[in-house]
Amino acid sequence: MKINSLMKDELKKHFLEKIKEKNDEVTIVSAYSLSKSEIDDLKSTLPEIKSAKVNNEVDETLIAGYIIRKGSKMIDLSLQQQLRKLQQQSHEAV
Amino acid sequence: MENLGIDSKLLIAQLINFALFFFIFKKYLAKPFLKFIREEKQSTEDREKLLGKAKVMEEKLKENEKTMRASLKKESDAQILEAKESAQKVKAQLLEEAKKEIEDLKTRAKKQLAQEHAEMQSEAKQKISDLSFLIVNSALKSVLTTEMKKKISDSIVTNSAKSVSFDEN
Repeated sequence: MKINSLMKDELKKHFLEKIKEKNDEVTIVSAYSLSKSEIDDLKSTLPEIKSAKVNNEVDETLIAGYIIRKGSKMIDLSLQQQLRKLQQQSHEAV
Repeated sequence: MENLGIDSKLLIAQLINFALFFFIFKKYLAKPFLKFIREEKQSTEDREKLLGKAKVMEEKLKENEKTMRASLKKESDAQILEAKESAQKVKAQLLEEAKKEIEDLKTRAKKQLAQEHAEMQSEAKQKISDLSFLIVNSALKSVLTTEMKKKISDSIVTNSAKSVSFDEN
């Protein structure tokens, strides 16, 4: 089956846009629900998510701080992670 | 002679009788009789000689037996002594091996004990650390208010902003 070249270009453009959108989407996991201003503050503080579309998920086990996910990548800025690092360091030191 | 009570005729007859007897004895009986006596004598001497020889042989045999007994005793004594020495050597060797084995076992047991001790210590540390983490985690969850959580979150972000980057999940 032959695909029209114009249609092919349109499809390509559409999927590239979809991929770009997906790549620009960021999920911020926090211990409490974030307001828009808080999200904006975060965007201004972290250049990695400045131009991204942000979703917010709540996970109370984090205690405080955030986990920022972008595709298969993530930044862990949660208090739980900080505590884990501290635990690891104390274990190594002893 | 007659006055003496001796009958001359009878005497003559007895003399003749004796002469006849002597003649017949010498002629027919004396030789075989003497031969028999000589043979008997020879036979007795031979027996005595044989007896002497047997006695000598018996003595010799006794002497041989005595020598053999002494030799056997000496040999058996030597063998017993050798066996004793060999047993002593084996005993000493076994003792040495047993001592070495005990030392090895001791060393291994000490090593194992030290290893187990270190493992237990490490495990205990890990458990204490995990427990501390759980306690702190639980305490923070119950103590922190939303405002406090926000402040902490801001603080973490501010402190880490310059160094953060996306890592593979």
